[in-house]
Amino acid sequence: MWREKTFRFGFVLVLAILVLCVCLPWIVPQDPYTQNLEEISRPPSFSHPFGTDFFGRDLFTRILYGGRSSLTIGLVVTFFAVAIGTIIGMISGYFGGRIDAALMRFVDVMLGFPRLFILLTVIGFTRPSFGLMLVVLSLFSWMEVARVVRAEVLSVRERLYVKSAVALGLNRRRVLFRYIFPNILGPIIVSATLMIGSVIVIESGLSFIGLGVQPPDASWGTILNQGFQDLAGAWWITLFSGLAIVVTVIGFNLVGDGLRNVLDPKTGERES
Amino acid sequence: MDRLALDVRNLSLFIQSESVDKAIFEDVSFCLGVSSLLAIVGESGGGKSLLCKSLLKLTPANARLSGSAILSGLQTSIDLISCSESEMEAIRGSRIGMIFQEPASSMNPVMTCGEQICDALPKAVRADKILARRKIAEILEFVGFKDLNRIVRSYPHELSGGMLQKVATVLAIAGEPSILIADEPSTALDAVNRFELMELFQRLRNEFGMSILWVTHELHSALTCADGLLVMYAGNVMESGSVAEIAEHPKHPYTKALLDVEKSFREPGGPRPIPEEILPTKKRDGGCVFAGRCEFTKPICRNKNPKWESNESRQGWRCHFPLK
Repeated sequence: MWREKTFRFGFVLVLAILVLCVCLPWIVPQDPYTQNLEEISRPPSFSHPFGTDFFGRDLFTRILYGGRSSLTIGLVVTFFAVAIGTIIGMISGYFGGRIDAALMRFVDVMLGFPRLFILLTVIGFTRPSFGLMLVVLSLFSWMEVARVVRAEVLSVRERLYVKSAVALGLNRRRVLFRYIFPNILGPIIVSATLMIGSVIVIESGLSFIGLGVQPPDASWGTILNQGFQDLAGAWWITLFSGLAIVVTVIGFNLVGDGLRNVLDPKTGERES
Repeated sequence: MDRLALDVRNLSLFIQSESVDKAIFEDVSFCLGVSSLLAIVGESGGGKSLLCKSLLKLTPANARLSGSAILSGLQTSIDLISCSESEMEAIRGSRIGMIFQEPASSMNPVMTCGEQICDALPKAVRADKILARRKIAEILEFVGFKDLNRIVRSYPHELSGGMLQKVATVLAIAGEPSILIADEPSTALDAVNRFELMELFQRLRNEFGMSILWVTHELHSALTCADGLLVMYAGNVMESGSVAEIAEHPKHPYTKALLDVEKSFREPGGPRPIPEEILPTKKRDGGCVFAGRCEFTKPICRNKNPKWESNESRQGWRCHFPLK
């Protein structure tokens, strides 16, 4: 797996970002909320590597704290969306027939909604909050996973070892969880990894227009929004928060692509 | 024949497609006596594998079965064909075990052999860890494994074809079934492993009274090991009877042709195959399915499906002009 270059590069990126976001607030104990009115809108310097914002807060620290909320949302939403999608996809693929038809039409309906506008509507009608965003994003992100999982189950359940497990008298639940599920884990992990990036982008978009994470809490979207108010004067705010998003999304996508190459025997070497 | 383990009567399988039902096999009847070994022989595409799967109701969703397959039990007999899915779950593994054609792909690649064998054990045994472990060791030893720990810990891809075949056999017999269906178990094996498997079959019959339904291409080994023989061609039973009778006096030209092909391998001049490709199964009453390849074909063979006939020694055939 490590020999796969795409994966290695992405993994290093993601790991670096995660380590920075998780550990650095303890190593650099600057408070992301402390305003320093003497140092408003300073460009990057030695003491403030990413500069400061309009309230004199250290941008580097704020981006790391923002990364915490962006990554948390990305990971948690992906977890729930993948869980929902996996369950629905497995039921659909394994039981087939009417259940399958009903669930897949439901997926079509869900995909028919323009996701971003639904999010805007739902959040617009209530008070934007961290928890609400987690729930709404999870509920509207599982459909592609369900489709992938269904397709995988359809192919795996025709394998001889699944037939053989049935022929041994194992009940459906056992066959599904011990014989089918472990064998579709690869594609699930790949689509989960690829999803993290897209969730982070959506979260940033929502926060950017003020419907996601609320100031003074930071997320990459809110910082981006802030920077947008004076793009010419304080370019570093937009640049660094935008870079944070881009690098993270690229990192996760590279990991996902790399994993797909490794796990798909047709496109890459297979680990034994 | 003494007590019966399985009595199959007029079993037919149709695959439903858009307009017509395609018959995979039709009117298959046979009896499997307790602790006997019945071999089903015939060329590829004759419906043998699907016949095996039908008995466990592992047929595709668009398949339709008719006829009956009576499984004799200690108290009651059950018709497998009319069983529900949950009733079948109770029968599979614990009353009828099955060995599949390719051992390598019939095992879960992400589970160790030990875990898979454990899954195949009867529920009561599986619940007790120590008992399960002892039972696994016992069966592994029975089929002739020496290094038990290694097998239990190995993943399927770490074992050789011959070993996998043995593990697949262990899976099939772990639930202590009274009937074992073996779908071409020896096709991928070398001569030594094949011999061991045959020997294992004999021991299963002698020590556990297991009845074995054995699908094979190898007419020669079928003639040496089995008691009964069922010759299938394009979804039809052409001939059935005891091995001794059929080897001596084949009644059906197809059986004779198969025997001749087998014999011709050992003769100077090399093998002489039966001419022409296997024909698709014809419609009912469209004539004998073997008419296109038979060397004795007469006009009636192409127009009328021959009836099933049998003699006093329980040898049966489906031919207008049985051989003398």
